[in-house]
Amino acid sequence: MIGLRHDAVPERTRRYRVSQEAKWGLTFLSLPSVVIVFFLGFPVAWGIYISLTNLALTGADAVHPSFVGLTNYTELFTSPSFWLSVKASMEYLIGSGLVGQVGLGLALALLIRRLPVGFRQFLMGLIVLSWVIPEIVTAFIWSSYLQTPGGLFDVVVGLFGIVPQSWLYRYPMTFLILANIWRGTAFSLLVFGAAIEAIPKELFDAAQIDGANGVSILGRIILPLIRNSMATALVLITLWTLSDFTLIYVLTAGGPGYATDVLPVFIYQNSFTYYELGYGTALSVVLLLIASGLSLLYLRLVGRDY
Amino acid sequence: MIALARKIGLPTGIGIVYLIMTLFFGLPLLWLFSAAFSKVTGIAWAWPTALTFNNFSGVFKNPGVGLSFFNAGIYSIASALVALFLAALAGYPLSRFRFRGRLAYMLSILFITGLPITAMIVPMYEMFLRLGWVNTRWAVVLMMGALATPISIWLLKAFIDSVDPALEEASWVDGANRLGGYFRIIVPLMRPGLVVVFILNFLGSWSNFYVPFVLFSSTSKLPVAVTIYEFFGNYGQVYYGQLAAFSLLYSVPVIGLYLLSGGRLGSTLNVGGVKG
Repeated sequence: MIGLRHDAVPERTRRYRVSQEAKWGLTFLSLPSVVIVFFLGFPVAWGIYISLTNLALTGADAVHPSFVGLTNYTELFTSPSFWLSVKASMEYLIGSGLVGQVGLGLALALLIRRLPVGFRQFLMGLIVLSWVIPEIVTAFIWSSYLQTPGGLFDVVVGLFGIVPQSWLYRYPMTFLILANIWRGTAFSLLVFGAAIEAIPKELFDAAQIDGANGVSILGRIILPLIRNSMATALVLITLWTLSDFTLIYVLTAGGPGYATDVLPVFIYQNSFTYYELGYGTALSVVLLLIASGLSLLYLRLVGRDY
Repeated sequence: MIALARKIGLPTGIGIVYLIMTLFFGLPLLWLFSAAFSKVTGIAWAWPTALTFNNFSGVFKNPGVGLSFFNAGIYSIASALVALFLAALAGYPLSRFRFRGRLAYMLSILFITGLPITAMIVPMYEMFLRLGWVNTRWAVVLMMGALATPISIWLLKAFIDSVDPALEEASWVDGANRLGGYFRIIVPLMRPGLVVVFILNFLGSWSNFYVPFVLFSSTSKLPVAVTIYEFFGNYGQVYYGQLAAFSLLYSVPVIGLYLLSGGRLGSTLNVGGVKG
């Protein structure tokens, strides 16, 4: 069999091989698929069912929830606080996910190549350290760092004559975005850095001989060649940013008002503070739909061949 | 620093950007380290004048902290192994075979990777309640393993792609079946990939707060992620030094494993990468 090329394999053998592949494919895929469906798929499906009921955490509706159809959804779409929550989520996504982590990550990946080794390693060390520490620690760090008066941030901006203030109260979304950029940029930086590293050096040399400037090298060589990494990073960062809970909950708990009440925090409040599990899971379904819609959009826009 | 940048031949613009980035990423970390080791207590920040380890010993005076580190270690190792095994299985046909629905399978996996845990926690809890699995260690480990499986499949597939199929074809000739040939020939060749994915999974479970928080009810089973949160809620606003020390202790395994993996964690994350 060794040395036979595919086109030299007789028809019957080839068909035999395809069915063999199907058999082994199923063998390999069955256990992982069962686990994923049982532990992850099933809760999602059940969540969709719960969102059509008036299930509550306590009281009579906790034991015998009744089917209420799309009531939760109509209630949600007519509620002003829901739309404020969507707005907060979009600000957080665009600010910290797209402009912040993807944009800054790409910019740093390009910048860092031009730095001397020692400088590069020092900055990379700081960025990666910010990324690997657990999210809850990030929340503690930023909550203390921004503490006013007397926090380290106050001390530093004080050097430039800026008056201390309650940063998380005055500019809640801005500082949440900064905290999430601090935490998450390493991921896209590492992804883009590795992708750029894999581009053959001759392409850059050839472009330079042809007199291409930095912008056209970026637009004509780098971006098209890291398209796949770009699509993956966009999808993952969008999904992660949209589902971010811990950082926001510890730092602002959604406030003040609805300023930072992103969807996961809003879901948590409705489910576990107001005990409206049906309503809360309807919100979860909406969050899932927004997340999948955006992911499909990126894959369509940036494209990707598997 | 800008003068230094100029001395080594960097343009001033890059020097300034470098300085800003270093401050942006470095200052919060400076707080963490200085607060943990400083004798100065209280909210106002000051340069540490004398070093102390009192904050670290203070953390362990809180009951259950030592045990929670042990718990977290066990859960993280076990769930990382579960995810690694499942991903090694699923990655193979996704890498080697071209079947209908393969793209859909890969895309579903990519999507599941980002499923908001907040969106699933309520039905997940209901499911555990009905099956009598609430407060059961092995069930929580399986849950965390399942959560890590999709991204592991995605990453391991890229490693399998890079192993020459001719190697396993040779093993079939020697009479091994696909499963045996795969685990005997291919899996050992992917050891660097397996290590990296194991570390990523370990880190994911070590940092997982939500799942153990909701699914465990007895204090003795809680991992650090939950005990540190409760510490913050109870004393965090007062004992900054101890909170910083606790945070550092909690982060040490994570930082250590990252360093252990060298730069490989970075290149693994180039999921997909440049097509040659």
